[in-house]
Amino acid sequence: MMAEFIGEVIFDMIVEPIGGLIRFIYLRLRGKQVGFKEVLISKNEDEETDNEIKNRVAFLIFMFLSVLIIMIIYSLIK
Amino acid sequence: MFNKIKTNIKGDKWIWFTILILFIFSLLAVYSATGTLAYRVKSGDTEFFLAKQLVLMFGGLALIYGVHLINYKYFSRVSQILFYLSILLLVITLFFGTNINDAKRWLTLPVVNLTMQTSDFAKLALIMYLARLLAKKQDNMKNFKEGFWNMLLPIIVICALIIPEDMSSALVLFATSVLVLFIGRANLWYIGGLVGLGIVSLVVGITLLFSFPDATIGKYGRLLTAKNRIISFAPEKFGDGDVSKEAEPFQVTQAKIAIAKGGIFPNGPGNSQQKNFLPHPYSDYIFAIIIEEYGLIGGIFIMFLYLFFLFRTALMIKKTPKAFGAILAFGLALSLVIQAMINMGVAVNLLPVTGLTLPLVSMGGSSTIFTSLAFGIILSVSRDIEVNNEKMVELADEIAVGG
Repeated sequence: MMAEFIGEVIFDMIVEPIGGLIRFIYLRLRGKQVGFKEVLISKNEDEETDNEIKNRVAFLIFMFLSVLIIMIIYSLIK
Repeated sequence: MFNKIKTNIKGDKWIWFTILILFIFSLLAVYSATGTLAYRVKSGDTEFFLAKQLVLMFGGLALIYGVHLINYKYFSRVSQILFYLSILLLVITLFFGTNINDAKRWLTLPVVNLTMQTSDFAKLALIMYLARLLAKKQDNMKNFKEGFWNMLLPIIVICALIIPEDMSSALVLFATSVLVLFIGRANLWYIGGLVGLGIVSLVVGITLLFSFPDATIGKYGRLLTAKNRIISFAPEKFGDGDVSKEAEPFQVTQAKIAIAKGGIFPNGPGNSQQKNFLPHPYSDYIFAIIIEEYGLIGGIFIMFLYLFFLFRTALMIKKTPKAFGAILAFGLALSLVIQAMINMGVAVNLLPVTGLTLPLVSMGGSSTIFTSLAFGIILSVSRDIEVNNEKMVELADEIAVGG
């Protein structure tokens, strides 16, 4: 498990960015008009926002306000 | 140039407005609270800290403006680099950090000779990195290793590196990270297990803290300070009759006096008396000074501003098309608002003493810089939504004309 994690770290940290840079230079040398920005953003790494994320945010706001109200009431009693 | 900046300001206008109001409050409160400090270290030059805060404020605004113009998708890749850099900086701080106020949390930058609190940097980097991981694994959230363990490891590493010198920041960061996992659709059973484990660890930690003699605990970082703060916060539960430990800390007493003097209605800017007695009235206890000068009304207004900011960010999430933007923006907003609430809780003695600042309001270079960066990133997500909406409207108009 640890070895896999280290492998992932090396891939994320070194292989992907340097690979992106090499790809950018290679495409430019071949005369393709690609921007560095396009290479910097990996494809398919950002999924669509699921409705569940929005629901959980709403739930968290509700919980946050509830805790705040409880703390204010507690401080008034204290 | 001003017109160019004005036309380029995008993103939620209410968040911009909140930032401006917080900065104005910061200027007024810091100028007032640094009076005594100016006499102590700047021979009475009270304008020195006002000028410093003004520079920080304009620097912060420039940073927010600059960052908000960047496409937020780049922060995904940048977060990787920042995360590993933060680990390196935290390790350096742990061994070679600068000792200020009995804590080795700062790193002195060579050449410029400025100090920065590395945990502020690590906090920003960790939340950005978590947002990246969560966004990438949205299809795999039910899998323990892919959807939970891989995200837990970075949290544990960063918090473990912060905890020896800054226990409160590490605990707050851990709690915030768990909330980020929650909004990122992590499995509720795993989160529940983690929260349970956290509570058990906290109880075991506190039990161990009170099982060993002070001489032994004193050898390990700031554990003794944490123990004394717990005792003075709840002497009836944790005290053992030792009056020197159980006595209320000086700053807590002074903060209580400041709040009592504040009353309900404002006394006016610069009319605080406790700023002359409170240690660090311009950073950790600035909220007590705000209440003393602007009354309960002013205090509630500041609290409302942070909540309003969180609410606006939540509204923004509803329109965010991509998971990374949604988790990134709300995660950063949560971390800022939780920090603000804890700072206020400490000032009114609802929570034990910590060293957390009031975001954008307290005086402090690295705090202002990293808070501004966080606001800039949130506004970058907001700008992206606005620009996309404008494009959609233009496209709809073109289709309507063409049709």
